[in-house]
Amino acid sequence: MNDVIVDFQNVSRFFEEGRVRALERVSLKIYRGETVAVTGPSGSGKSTLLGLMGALDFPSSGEVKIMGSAITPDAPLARLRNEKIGFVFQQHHLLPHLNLEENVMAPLRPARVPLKEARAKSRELLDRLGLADRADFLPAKLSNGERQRAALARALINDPQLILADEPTGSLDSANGEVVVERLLRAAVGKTLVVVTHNPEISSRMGRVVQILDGRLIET
Amino acid sequence: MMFKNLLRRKLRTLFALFGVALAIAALVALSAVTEGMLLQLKRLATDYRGDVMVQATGVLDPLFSQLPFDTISKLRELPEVKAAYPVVSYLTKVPRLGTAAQNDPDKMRYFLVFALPSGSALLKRHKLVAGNYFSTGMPELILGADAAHQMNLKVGDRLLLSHTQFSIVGIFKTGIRLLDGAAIYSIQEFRRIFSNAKLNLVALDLHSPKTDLTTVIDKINADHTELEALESAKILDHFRHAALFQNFANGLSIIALCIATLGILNVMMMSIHERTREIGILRAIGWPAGMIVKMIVSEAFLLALAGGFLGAWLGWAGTELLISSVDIGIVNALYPPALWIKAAVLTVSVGVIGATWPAWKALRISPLEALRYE
Repeated sequence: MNDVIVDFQNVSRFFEEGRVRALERVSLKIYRGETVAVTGPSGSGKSTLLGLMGALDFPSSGEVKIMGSAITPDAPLARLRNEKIGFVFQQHHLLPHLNLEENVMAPLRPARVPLKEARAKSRELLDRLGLADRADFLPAKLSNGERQRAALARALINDPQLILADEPTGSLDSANGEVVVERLLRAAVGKTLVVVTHNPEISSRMGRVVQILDGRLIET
Repeated sequence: MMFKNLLRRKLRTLFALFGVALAIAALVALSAVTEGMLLQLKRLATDYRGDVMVQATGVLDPLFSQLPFDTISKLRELPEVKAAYPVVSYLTKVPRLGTAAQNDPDKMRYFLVFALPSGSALLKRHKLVAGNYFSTGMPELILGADAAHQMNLKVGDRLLLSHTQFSIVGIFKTGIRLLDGAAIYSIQEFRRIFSNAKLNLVALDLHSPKTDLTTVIDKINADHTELEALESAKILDHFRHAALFQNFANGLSIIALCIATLGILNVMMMSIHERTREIGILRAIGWPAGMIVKMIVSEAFLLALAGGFLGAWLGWAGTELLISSVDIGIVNALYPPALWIKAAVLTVSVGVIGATWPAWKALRISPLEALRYE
């Protein structure tokens, strides 16, 4: 429980030459095995926080470390994202011209995993998420719930230590939302899960809730 | 993934592919025809050469030279000259089939005619495959094997040429398409038909070519300002039409290739613009920048390659079609390996250049911004 997975030290993130202050002096540590909900009103800086955790963005000041790696422009961030972080977005963000199997195995490409092995891993995950019979379907042919589960499969295929989810149920009805949250929590056992959400139901199922207000962190 | 990305906008991809194909086809066709023409001229120059060729001063190329007939006697007076041969060539029209009506323009074809001295060594370089050489003072000619085949004529037939009925007394074959599609008759007959006619060139054989070549050329150029003497081995340099055509062909090819490159650039830029979010997703799931660049360059390269192959085939097929439809044998094509290498190198360049800017643009896409992109 003592391994620090996410370590923010006095992190600020400004946009438009400092006119927009998305995050201000945020310090936060998240440990291995934790499940954390990040809540707050729209525009409070939740997604900016998640972008920094996911090594998709850089702090304007302060220091961000993910699993010990400092998030700086010259760090090998693609590899970090590929091997250690899994993303689930509010929209499924599946590639529309690839079928589910191909979408799920896309993160295996950078590691040059042999096609046969990649296919097998992809099928196994789709099976676990109840999408085995949808493997050859294009995303456009699926329901929202199925797409989001496929996005979850893609996030999990490299067995990441850190799973980040940005409003994962935001585009789903309650039944499908429940399925996705259930699968997320099941997949996060032994890993670290950070979920940005407005939904108090989801927050209540997380081990810890951090609230952001006007770019500042309020731990609850 | 490359194929799938390209096939997402089939029509746009198809247009870009045809753009490359047309550019490469133009390059292949123009280069092949230029190469073929140069080969024809080179072989013609070799076949007709003496040691020195004499043409009129200041002409664009030797085929347009006009010299009076007394030039031969002047040149024969030079002590270094062993023999001087007049060379005459002109284009005329003959019935497409030897027996067809002469008055119907649709049934006529352009035809290249040479006049050479009967019994000369120059004439005898045209090896007969049937019949004999023509006699002096008779309206007789020898016909190239290709012309005989195309017009369905044989020894003993007659051919109306320059308002004169000629008897075909021999068929010759040289392997030079320009000559094998032509007819040759005697220079004496030529002078009888065209009383004010001029000749094009005079080919000189020297007693001692190695020692006298420069002396003779300098002497002719100094003493006869209306004449220009050239070393036969360098005659091709003086076919300025060929050089002009070659430059024109190169210029057109470059324009076509620029358009093809812009076509690929446009397709790839549009594609990158449309796929901004997808590129963001790929970056988010850990695709390194190099893989994204490789994907974009590969797509452009594949497009260029497919266009290149199609263009090479179209260029070849189009050229062969053109050659078969043109009567005179000067239009000939040659496809040396260097032509295909040039086409391949330019195809690859079109792909790579067309992908460079889009790939650079894709690299600048921030994953976070791209994910928010609508």
